[in-house]
Formats: sequence, C-alpha cells, structure tokens
Amino acid sequence: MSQGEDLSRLSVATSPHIREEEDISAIMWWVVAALTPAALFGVWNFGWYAAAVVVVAVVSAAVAEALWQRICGTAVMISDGSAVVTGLLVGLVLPPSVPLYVPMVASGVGVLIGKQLFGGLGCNIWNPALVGRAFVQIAYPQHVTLSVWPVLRGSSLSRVLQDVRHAGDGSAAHEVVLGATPLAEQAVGSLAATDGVAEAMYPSVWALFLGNIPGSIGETSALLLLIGGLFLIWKGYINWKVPAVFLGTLFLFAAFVPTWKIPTGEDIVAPSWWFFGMYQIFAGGAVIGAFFMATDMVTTPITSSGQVIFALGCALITALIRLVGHGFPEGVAYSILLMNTATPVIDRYTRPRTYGTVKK
Amino acid sequence: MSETSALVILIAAIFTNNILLANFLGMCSFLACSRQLDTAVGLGIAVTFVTGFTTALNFLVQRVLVTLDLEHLTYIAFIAVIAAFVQFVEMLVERISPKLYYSLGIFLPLITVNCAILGTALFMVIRRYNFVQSVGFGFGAGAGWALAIILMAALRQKMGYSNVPRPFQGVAIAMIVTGVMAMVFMGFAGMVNIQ
Repeated sequence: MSQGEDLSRLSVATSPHIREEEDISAIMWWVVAALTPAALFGVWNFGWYAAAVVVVAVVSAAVAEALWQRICGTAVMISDGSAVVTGLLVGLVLPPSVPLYVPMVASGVGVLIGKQLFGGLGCNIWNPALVGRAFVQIAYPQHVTLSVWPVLRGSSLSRVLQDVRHAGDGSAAHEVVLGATPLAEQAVGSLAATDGVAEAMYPSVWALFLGNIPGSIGETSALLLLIGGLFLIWKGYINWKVPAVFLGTLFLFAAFVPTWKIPTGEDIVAPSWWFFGMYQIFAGGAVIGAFFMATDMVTTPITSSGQVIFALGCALITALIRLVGHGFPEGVAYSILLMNTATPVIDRYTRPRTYGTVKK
Repeated sequence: MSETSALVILIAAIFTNNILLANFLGMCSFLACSRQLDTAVGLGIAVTFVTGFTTALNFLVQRVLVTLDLEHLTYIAFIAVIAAFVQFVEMLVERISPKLYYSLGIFLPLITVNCAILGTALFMVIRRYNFVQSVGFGFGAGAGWALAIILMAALRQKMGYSNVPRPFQGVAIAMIVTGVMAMVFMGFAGMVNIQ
C-alpha cells in the first residue's frame, strides 16, 4: 500500500499487525502529555501542595520500578514512561490534602503489586494506578475519603457552602474553605436537607465541566480531560467507543433509573433528569476513568466488542456503587478494577471468528 | 430473625458478602482447581447446586435437632448431610449423564470437603435465616463461589502468558491475585448489607 492512500478504513484489531515506528514509550509519553493540562489545572486550583502530591506519586512510581528491576537484574525500563503514567494517574486521583506518604504508598503498591509481580508492563491484570488507589482507600480511609475537602476560595460551591453553613466570621477572606466533593455531598445528602432547593445546592453543570469544584487533584476539570482524551482518540491510541459507552450509559442510568439518593420532601425540588445525568458524568472521576483508565491497552479486552462490554459493565457498576450503595461515594475506580478482573472472561467469549471458518 | 428478603440475600451473597472473597472459605479447591476455565465452570456449577440444596436440607435438619434438643450435634449432622448429598448427586449424575460424571468425576468428592458449603450452613444458623432466606443464601453463596473461581481460572489462564518472577510462580501469585480480587470486591461493600 503506497503512501498517502486512505488508511482510515483499516481498523486495528487483534494481531498480527503491520509494524510502525511508534513504540510503547512514544504512546506512554503522549498519554502523559494528554494528562498534563488536567494536572496543571489541578495545581492551579488546589495550590502547590497538590503539585507536591503529584510529583511524589510520579517519582515514587519511577523509583519503585527502577529498584525492582535492579533487584531482579532485568533492564531498567523507566524511560518507557509506563511507570510515569501510573504515578501521574495515582497523583491525579488522590485528594489534594493527603499526607505525602499516601501517594508514595499508592504508587509503590501500584507498580510493585499491581504490575511487576505479574511480570511487568503488558502482563498485569489490573490497572496499576487503580490498584494503588484502592489500596490506600482501604489503608488510609481517613485521608482518602474525606467528608470535607479543601477548595480554592471563590469557587461556586465554596460560596454556596459558606452561605449555608455560615462557615466562620468573614469566611470569604479565608484562603481555604472546606467543602465536600460533589459526590460525597450527594452521598450524605446533608446539604440538600438543610436548605430548600436541592438543585441550587449542587454546583452547576458548567462549573463541573470546567472543574472549579472540590475533588481529587486531576479529575475535576472535565473540559481539559476531554481535550486530552479526544487527542488520544485522534492519535488512535484509544477506542472512542469505550468513553462513549461508559459515559453514555452512566448518563442514561442516572437520568432514568429512579435510584436517586437525594432527600426529597415538600420543600425540596428534585433535580431534573438532565441535570442529574450530566452531574453523574462530570462529578467525580468518571471522565478521567472513561478516557484514561478504562482504555488501558493491557488490562482491557482485546476486541472492540469486548471493549464495549467492558465499558458497559464499568458504567453499570459505577452507577450501582454511587447511587445504590452506601459504602463509597465514588465507584469509578472499583468498577474499572472489577471489569479488569472480568477481562479474561470477556476476551474468552468475544473471540473473533477465525478468518475463513464458518461460525458454529 | 433477619427481615431481609431472600432475593437481596441471594445478591448480597454473590457480590458484597462473597463466601470466598469476603469470608475466605473454600480456598483449597479454589486454588487447586482454577487452572482451567472449563473445569472451573463445571466445579462452580456443581458447588452452586450442592450448596443450594444442602443448605435447604440442613435448615430442616437443624430444626429437627433444635426440637429434639440435640443442637450439640449440629456440626456432625451438617457434615453427614453434605457428604450424603454429594454421594447421592454423584450416583444420580452417573446414572443420568455419564458424560458429565466423567468430566466432573474427580471434583464431586472434593465438594464434600469444601468448607464454603459447611460455612454457608453455619452462617445460616448464626444469622437466623428462615427457610426461604436460607435457600436464597445457599444458592447465592454457591454462585458467588462459582463466580470467583471462574474469574480466577480465566485470570490464571491469561497469566500463563505473563512472565511472573520465579519466586512468585504458582500458588504464590494465585494468593496475591486472590487478595487483590478481594480488595476489588470491596467496591461492592455497603451496597446491600447482610452481616
């Protein structure tokens, strides 16, 4: 096939492949680049301490990988960027106020138990960053799942919170006020119960989209994550169907399945289906999960149909954990880990027909 | 007496209170028979069947023992019921479907000593389930065990292609995988609560 011919109709599927110059490390560094805007926004939103959390996470992941590979006597492969991606994702899904040993432990567990014990890059079963995140969720719940989160002064939610909670004298002058992340807020339902209108108590969809809200460092700005994710789709690294199915199913479930945990009463106006659906997509880690974690090449199914099943399962489990369960306010990380567990089974039952044979 | 409906108990026993991943019962056959997906599926179905029916039978046996004031015989009675039922199933399967019998043959006796089944019966007593709840719990616990071993078998088959470091090969990595699976299943925690 000569240069310049239309290649867009060639879809990449299972092996064998035509070789290209672009290797693993190039893909990994492009993923880092795609995550950078969201990371920088997190630092701008939450301050320099958030930068320290991210840097510690990245450095710990790289050091853990290098130490392990040195001990095992294999080649040190930090330059392939996979440990950096893991560390960056760990940093971005942690709250900005964690003590610095939390990202250290999360990255270490993610890289060592999540990846290296299985034989390194390409052999792991679960997304390493999420293994680390789930581990610290259990090990340090007091730091990772907060009832109050630091937010930057001037964000829309912090103003609402100040109005409702009368947070101290002249609190507008405080540099940092405490506010709950939108999903924790919904899980508790405390805010809506204290005031009349439920919808006014939540940040607007626009604020959620831009990311001017409390939350984990890198998951607040849907806009910047979307830009990074669309870039990866354009580069052909991730299957557009995965985030589309993930976020679409989540929207439909939230909008039309009546499981809302919002307290209703005579003086409380329930949010509209449109608002609540958009709210579930843009609050919490759904966008970063759908674009950057559910699309991991190693831990998700191989075929396109398998990936769609994977995304569907992720969305349904996320919705169940968020809207039905009372254990955790956020379910994206666990849903992706659970579907990672089911990936070999999905692969087994979505095997493409061997070319030239007849379907049984 | 717990008021939870049998359906909720069934679902909770599969996901939130998975007998293997939350209570760590039935580990031996889980680790020993999870190398091949096909045998795992067969064993999983057999365990679900046996757990469901023996829990129901044991419920009746326990009621009889309580009325006779012989509760100290609960354990031995449960074990006898499970062993007898497995023997019965074995003969039944051999008579009806010899093909299934030969594919399951080795695993049927193993089910007798699967502690998940005895554990399910004992949980049923501790949690004071009524008959319908016990049936739901029995089939749920069996299905949860089946789900865990099927996922595990597929993971281990996939891991056949990965170069696990030599000290961690075999049972070691299987234990680590089980641990991470248990951690991951904690995501369901709190969704439905049975103690």
